[in-house]
Amino acid sequence: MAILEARNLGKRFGQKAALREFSVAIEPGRLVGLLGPNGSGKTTFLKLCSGLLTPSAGEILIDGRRPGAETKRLVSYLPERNALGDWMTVRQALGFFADFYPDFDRERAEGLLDALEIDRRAGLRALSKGTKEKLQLILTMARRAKLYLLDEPIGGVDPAARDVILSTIVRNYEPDAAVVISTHLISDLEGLLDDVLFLKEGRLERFAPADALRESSGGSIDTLFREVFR
Amino acid sequence: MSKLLKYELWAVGRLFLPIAAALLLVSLVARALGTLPPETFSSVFQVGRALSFLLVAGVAVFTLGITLQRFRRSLLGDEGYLMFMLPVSVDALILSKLVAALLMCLLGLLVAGFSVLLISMRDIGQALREVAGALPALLRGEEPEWLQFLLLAALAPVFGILLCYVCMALAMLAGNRRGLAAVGLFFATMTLMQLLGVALNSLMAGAGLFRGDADHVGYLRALLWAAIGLEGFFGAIFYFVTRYMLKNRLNLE
Repeated sequence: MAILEARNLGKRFGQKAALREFSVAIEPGRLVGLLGPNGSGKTTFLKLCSGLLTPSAGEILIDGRRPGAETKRLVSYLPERNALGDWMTVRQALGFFADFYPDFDRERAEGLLDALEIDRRAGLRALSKGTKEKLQLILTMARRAKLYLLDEPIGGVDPAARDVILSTIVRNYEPDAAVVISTHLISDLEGLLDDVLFLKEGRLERFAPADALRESSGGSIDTLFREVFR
Repeated sequence: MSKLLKYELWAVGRLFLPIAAALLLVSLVARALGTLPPETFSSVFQVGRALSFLLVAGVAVFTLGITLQRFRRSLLGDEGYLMFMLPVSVDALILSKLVAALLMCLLGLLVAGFSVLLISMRDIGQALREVAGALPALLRGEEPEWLQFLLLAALAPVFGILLCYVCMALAMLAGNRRGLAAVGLFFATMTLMQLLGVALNSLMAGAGLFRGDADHVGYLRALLWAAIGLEGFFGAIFYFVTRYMLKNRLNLE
């Protein structure tokens, strides 16, 4: 059974269609690139999958169920903005995740904090934007979730930090879990992806295995992306 | 729910406790200055007293501000991305905010009341003894309308907080004009509630519940029960509409 299934999913904001109705199913164990230019509907799609937005049409199923308290046990979501309250310290943020998510692996989180040299005693208010992003990623990836939804995890960071973030993702997700990563920086992700989902102006342009797309286009995903979104 | 409440109290406490402590400190200073000969420190004493009263008003405004901010930022703002991803029910999210806000109101009331006592009463022990002496009569129900006033006063912050919540939750439907919509909804609902109160009063008077001074107390009691019923009824409606909006119509920006 698909871990994530969208059926005729659509979302409108007033008169503007952010996502035009489409269906897609993502299987466990796949690393899926959610690709598209800015404004193509990537964040909207991930927020619908997380239950942070309500669909205007169709439905989303996580492991066969509509988003709710039960499905949130299965989903680890990294938003594109800082969602951690400034009133926390790094240690409290870890405690917060450990308190609410039974699948939170504290040891893994502590190891990642050490690897990325983040001070546990620091207040979140005092952390730089980049460090906050890394902390959010650590908290997200330290869960043993069935579905990881990562919204632009490498969007606003320098190339050196990108490598750290990507290796954190690749090394830490559960092998039987699905990972959906949204980005417009395709070249950094190219070699990692199992499947590719292209969104263009809210429409599902392509959804296929990365290898099949490379074969059919005779080039890289990056090249194909540039052709599709020319 | 207890875990949510723990973190909510932490978030609220770090904002609220410093201002409560400041209020108590200024009140203590004003009281200490009050013991000096007035001609020596009269202007300082007056400033201290004025500052204390300002701080009492400040605590009320601050309490309201924190209540609004915690709901808006923590559920409908950036922190909502974290809170709505927790495997907890929407009821638990709303109730943890409500309980923390109510505890803050209660603490604010106690701190403000104690500050007023510090500033204005020479013998605080005597004042507290008088209050304690009046309590048994109130509890025995010799003057039962006091209990009704108490119930009404206890329900008032619940009603007020839930009204704020429902306005902010409904304002999600207003797209980019959420702030304006929430304020508009608040004043529209308050006006509606005022009109309802006036209509109810007229209805009760028309029904012959008030027949001159002899019935004054009975009429007052009936009016208080009606107000308690209305507060409870509309408070419940506000709660369930907020719950519906957060559960079925959530649209985080």
